[in-house]
Order: sequence, then C-alpha cells, then structure tokens
Amino acid sequence: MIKATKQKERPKPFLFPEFCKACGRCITACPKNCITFGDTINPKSGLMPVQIDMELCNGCGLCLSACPEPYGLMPQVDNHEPIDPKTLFGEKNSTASKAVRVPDEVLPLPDMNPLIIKGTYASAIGAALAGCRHFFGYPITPSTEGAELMAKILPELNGVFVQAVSEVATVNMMYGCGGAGMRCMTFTSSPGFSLMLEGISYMIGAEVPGVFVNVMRGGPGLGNIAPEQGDIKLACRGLGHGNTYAVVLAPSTPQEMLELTMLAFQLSFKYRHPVIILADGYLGQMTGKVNLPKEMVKPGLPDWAVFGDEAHRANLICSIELSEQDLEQHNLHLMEKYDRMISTEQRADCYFCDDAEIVLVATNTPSRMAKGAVEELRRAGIRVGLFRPISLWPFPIDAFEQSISEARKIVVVEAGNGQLEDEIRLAMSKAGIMNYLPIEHIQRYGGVLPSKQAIVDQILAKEVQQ
Amino acid sequence: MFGIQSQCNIEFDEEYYDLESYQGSIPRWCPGCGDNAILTAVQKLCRDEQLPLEKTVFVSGIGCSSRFPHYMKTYGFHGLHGRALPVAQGVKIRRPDLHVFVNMGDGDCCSIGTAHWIHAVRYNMKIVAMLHDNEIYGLTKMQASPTSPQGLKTNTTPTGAYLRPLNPLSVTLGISNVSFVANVAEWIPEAMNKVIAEAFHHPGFAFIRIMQRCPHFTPRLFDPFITDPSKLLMLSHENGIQFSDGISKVYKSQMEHDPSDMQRARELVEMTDQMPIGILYRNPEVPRYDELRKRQRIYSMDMRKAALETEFAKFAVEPVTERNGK
Ligand SMILES: Cc1ncc(C[n+]2csc(CCOP(=O)(O)OP(=O)(O)O)c2C)c(N)n1
Ligand code: SF4
Ligand code: SF4
Ligand code: SF4
Ligand SMILES: [Mg+2]
Repeated sequence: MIKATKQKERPKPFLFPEFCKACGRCITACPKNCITFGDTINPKSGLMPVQIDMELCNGCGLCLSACPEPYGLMPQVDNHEPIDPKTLFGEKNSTASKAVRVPDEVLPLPDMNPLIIKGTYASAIGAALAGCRHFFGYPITPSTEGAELMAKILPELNGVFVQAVSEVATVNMMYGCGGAGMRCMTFTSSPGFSLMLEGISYMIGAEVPGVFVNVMRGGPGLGNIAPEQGDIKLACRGLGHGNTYAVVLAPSTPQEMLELTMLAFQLSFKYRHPVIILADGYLGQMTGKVNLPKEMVKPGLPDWAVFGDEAHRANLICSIELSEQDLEQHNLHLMEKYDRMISTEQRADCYFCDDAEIVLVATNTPSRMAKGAVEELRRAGIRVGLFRPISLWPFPIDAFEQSISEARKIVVVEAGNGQLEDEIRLAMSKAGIMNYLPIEHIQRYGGVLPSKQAIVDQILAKEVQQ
Repeated sequence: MFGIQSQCNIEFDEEYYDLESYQGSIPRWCPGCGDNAILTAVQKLCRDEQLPLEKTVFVSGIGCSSRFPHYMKTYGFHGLHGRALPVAQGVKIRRPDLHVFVNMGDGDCCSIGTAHWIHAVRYNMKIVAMLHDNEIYGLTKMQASPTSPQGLKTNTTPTGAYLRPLNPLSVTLGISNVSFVANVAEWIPEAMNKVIAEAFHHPGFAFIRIMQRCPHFTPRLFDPFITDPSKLLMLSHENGIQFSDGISKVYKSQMEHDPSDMQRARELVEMTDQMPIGILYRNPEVPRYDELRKRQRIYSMDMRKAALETEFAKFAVEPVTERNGK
C-alpha cells in the first residue's frame, strides 16, 4: 500500500520544448516507451522536441537523469520557468577584483654602437626590445636564422622558444600565447605562411594579437629560397577565410626590419589583432647597419587576456558566434577596427615625388633598386620619384595621391606578377581616382629581382621614344 | 658456347634494366651522406626485380633525403614537406599497378607529417616507405628533429634538445593495422638490401626506418653503433632475413626473432642498450585499403548511366503541366 501512494507522489517529467535538442536519450531511457520523437518544429529552437505520453508515464524519473540539457526535462513543478541559478544556489558574486589593463612601460636604453646584422636578426632584436618573450616557429629557409637567434636569446630573458612540429602547430601556439595576453611572434617563409592562414583567421576572429614575419621566397609551391614578393595578395587579401584584414608592414632595410617589428607589436596590442611583416629573402639575409632605438618596452597586461589569475577568470577567447545576428555584429565591430586602421596606420616613404613626372612604386628589396634608378635618372635630367608604401595594407593612398599629383605615369617595380600593382589599382579605385594615369610595370619572377639597370633602361627607352 | 647469335633473339621488345638504367641526375648530397647508400640499395632492388621504369614511382617530401626522386630515372614526385605519404596514397589508390616508393626525412615524417604517417600505416596500402632518419634537419641547416637525441645541440636547441626522442619504430608498431616494420642502418648494405627486398614483396604498407648518417651536420651521431658493432642486435629468422657469414663475423650479437611476434617486436624496439636491425614485424594478412576499395567488377556504359540517372532522379522536379494540374 505504502508503495502505491509513494509511486503516485513521484513527479512526472515536464518538457521545456524550446530547450529539447531532440537527442533522443530520454526515449531510450524510458522503460514505459512513453516518449517519442516529435514531428513539429519548435519556432524558438528550430528543432523538433520529443513528445511525452503522460498517460503511460509512471514518474520513474529515468528520463530526467538521461536528459543532458539543464532545462530539457524537469520534474513537474508549479513554476515552469527556467530557474535562475541564483535562486537555486543563492547569490554568489565573485570576490575577484576586476581585471585592469596594465599599460606598457617605456624604458630608456643607453646609447649603443650600431650593429652590423642581417635583416632577420634585426627583426628578432626588435621583437625582444618590443617586449616579445615568446617565439614559436618551424624552420624554413630563408627565415630560420631569425628563429635561431631567438632560440639563443629568449631563454636568457626568461622567455620561451618553441620549435613547433609544424606551421599549423606554430600558429595555434601563438593563438594560445597571444590569448594569454603575451607578446609572441614567428618567423616563417612563404610555404609556411600558407599553412598559418587558417589560424590567423581564427586569431582575427577572436581578436588575439601576434606578429608574423614572413620572409617571402620564390613560389609557387616549393619554389626556391630566393626573394620574391608573391605573398602580397595573401597578406593583403587572403588572411584565411572570413572578412579578414590585418596591418601589413613591408621593410626594405635591416634598420626597418627592427623598427617595423617593434611597431608591429605596438599595433598588434593596440588593435588586439595580428600584424604581418612582409620581408623578402634578400632582405632577410642581407647585412646592414642597424642603430638601436633609444627606448625599449616592458610589456603590460591587457584586461581581456586569459591570463590565469582570479581577476582575468571570466575572460573567454573564441571565434565562434552561432547566431547570425551576433556574428554580423562581430563583423561590424571588426570592420570598425579596419576603418580605424585605414585612417591611422597608412605609412609610406616618398623619395623625390614632389615634382616627379614619373613615379616608381616599389617596396622591400626592389625599392632599393628603384631608389638607385631614381638617382641615376635624375642625373640624366628625368624627373622621376619613388613612392614606397611601408604599410601594404592599409595602402597609403593619401600619400600616394599627393605623390602622383605632378605625374604623367606610374611604373610599378616588383618581384612578382602584379600583386603590388593590384593593391595600387584597388586603392585608387576605392579612393575614387577615376582618371587613371597610365600604369606600366617592371617585373621579375621566381627569385630574380628587377635590376637598377633594367629600370633605368626601360624608362629611358620610353622617354626617348616620346 | 652453343653458338647463339643475337639475330636469333626474337624477344626484341623486351629490355633488360641494369643499374645505370635507374640512374637519374647526379646526386647532389654531401660527400659521405648516407642517402647515397640508400640510393644504391634501392637501385639494386629495382634492377634485381627488373622494375619497369614507367611502372615505378618515387614520392618524397621536402628535405635532403627528399631529393631522392631526382636521382632515379623512374617516375618521380617531389612533393610537399610532410605530405609525401598522402601523395603516394593518391597515386596508389588510382593506379594499384604501379610500384610506389616513398622517401622522407625524420622532420618530414615524424614532425610536420606525423598525422599522415599514422594514417598511412592504418590504411595499409601497398607502398614501401623509407624513413631516412639522420636525427636532424639537414636541408634547413641543423635544427632539432623529433628523433634528435636528448641533449643534442642544434641551432634551435643551443643548450641541447630537451625531450627524449620520438621512437619511429615503437610509434609505428603501436598503430592499428600495422603490417611491416623494419630497422636498418645505411652503413650495413647487406641488411639494408635484404630488408628493402622483403619490404618490396610485402603485401601492404612496409615501413623501414633507416639510420642515416649526416656527416655535414652531425658527423659523430651514429659513432657508438659504428665503433661498437655489438650495440646492434641483428635479427634473423627463417621467416625474416638471414645474414651472410661475413656480416655475422662483424656483427656478433645476433638473435632469432620471428617477425610475426608483435609482443617481442615491441620489446626489442624499447631496448636501451642495443638497437635491433632487421625485420621487427610482418603480417601479410592485414587488410589493405587499396584492395578493399578496388572495383569488384567492370561496369558497362549503360549500367553507369542507369546508376547516375537513379541518383539524379531523386532530386528531379516534375515539371508543371496542364495534365498534372500542379
Ligand atoms: C611547410 C614547410 N615548412 C618548412 C619547410 C622547410 N623545410 C624544408 S626541409 C625541412 C626539414 C628537413 O629535415 P628532414 O625532414 O629530417 O630531412 P633531411 O633534410 O634531414 O633529409 C624543413 C623544415 C618547408 N619546405 N615547407
Ligand atoms: S518519468 Fe519514467 S515513465 Fe515517465 S516519461 Fe520519464 S522515463 Fe518514461
Ligand atoms: S533527453 Fe532531453 S534534449 Fe534529449 S530528446 Fe529528451 S528531452 Fe530532448
Ligand atoms: S646535410 Fe647531411 S643529410 Fe643533407 S646531404 Fe649533407 S650529409 Fe646528407
Ligand atoms: Mg633529417
């Protein structure tokens, strides 16, 4: 008798249809077979919740424990609203202090004699002075020497150097380390950069900083280890899937390798965004005089970091946004960031552009040849200038418009098949510069650089014709 | 002796391949590089088996060792770093009639290509895979590889490699569907030749780890084995390989090991004082993915058309006509 009354008191299940994922676990669990798959779509969840035949149910409760959803199946109660955890467990506010942003500190450096070093070394030293203490990478010529220097100096600076098992592992280690709010970087070269793109897209989505130095080599495929500029489109237009852009800096001397690497870290944390440095195989290997900066950076700690202390406990790094509306909002937020980068991060170097009738455009090592050509052509009485974009994305269109104000033609000099030229054309078109000046180009491929003489000859030949 | 003259030879369309027939371009490995010995062993196998040049493919990744296909006059495929095995699988699944060989470095196979290695073993396609294990990155100039010994100073481990090395043999023996695992040293050609021949005849994925000297970057790495031959344990068996008297005189520590004994094989590769040389494990019965996926019969054009039509019909929309009133 007692048994019977007890059975009656057992609460029957109640289903919140909008929380049921139709996983069917309760169906298998029910010994009375009273639960079946539903046939109507729930408008809130878009799924088809199960149906329970209450006549057959004896309230055994097995389905309740089978249901993995916190609010899928609940015991019958008077108030069928999802219960706020606070009322269940009592209010429990975190006692942790809120994370506060610790700003970077700038420390003065004593005067030092200049160094004579390779471009990759200059970049590694720049990184160390910018407060980078974490290096992840996978060997690939012609970038490895930068990594090898990091392997020597970082342990001395209480940092970490990790040779990852691949470029895919590398970028994901950076995703993790950057997510912890730490300064990290890699050196790679074209095939390795290709492999990192998926991870870069995730880093952009999750807003994680990190600096990628891509010492470009000849392609496509394995190509060779000589300098080319074939990754401009990848860095400017193809940073993995999604609406992704990032600041792309293009040094042309070892000195700039150092300075732009330092700048890259600053921008990467300013925007919470990866930054790409595009160098080329010649620049990576070339030794040059490098003056050390007057200051170095002692890195702070961002408040958003998954740092691993109480204050940062609530932070989450992710690039997933399941609802379309949220993802659209997130994209709008990223685009607002891109707009800010476009308006503040354009950088360029104009050489004799003020009165130039012919404006050469070149970056990385080819800009050195172009500079030599400008000097020689000027001596021959031709008004030539060199426009050297330092940020390839955002393209320094404002400075470019000024540089070509006196020009009658543009000549793009590049070690590639027009990837730089495409950036120029796109930037002009977006800026609404409709009457295009004629654009000519001097290109070499496969690791061959356009020579100063070739530039001079081509320009002289055309000028004489006219 | 019997006065046979060349004119009376009527099999004029058959060609005999000698060693030179398999020689491609001149190897550009460093003098003394162990890869040269491996190349010779492979060319000997090709000659002994009379492998037609056009029916033989060498696939490699990227590294010094991966220049191998350039030096063979067969078909060659110099692939991507770490991806030699999937490329080879792609060749084999469509052309099971080809003899497919893979040459890869330790960085190639055991670092960036690890996932492919594990799954290639599991797929067990009939491929001979040679791991040129010099325990260093050669082509990129001396960085640590996962097989570099603990403490080895390299350009990326200036204070010495931190971890115990990955053991390619024990890893391979631990993978489901493993069917052939052997270990050889490039400086003992007899063992290498015999193992490569057995691997070639094995119906499945034959994994050979070859200890390979890199005199350019790590000249002393294998010295312990070279100066003290008793550190090598030669595995012989009637179902495996057997050594000549000459070899047995130098390499006195020998042992009978039945290659069907997986348990013993696993113990052998975990030894710390000695390195086993020979066939560790062989099981010709393991199912092969390339066999399982082979077409069971040939279909006529009409049968193929009918099959396609049935598939497409599932998605076809009936046009609206007056008759069906829709
Ligand atoms: C995606 C990619 N990353 C890196 C490289 C550079 N790379 C070429 S070979 C190699 C490793 C060489 O070592 P190993 O595989 O052991 O071959 P070995 O040269 O020693 O024969 C590396 C890292 C590359 N070619 N592609
Ligand atoms: S309470 Fe028991 S009988 Fe009722 S639906 Fe759940 S499992 Fe079935
Ligand atoms: S177990 Fe829960 S989520 Fe799964 S079908 Fe049943 S009620 Fe729905
Ligand atoms: S570097 Fe080493 S592995 Fe490469 S060819 Fe030279 S000796 Fe051989
Ligand atoms: Mg190697």
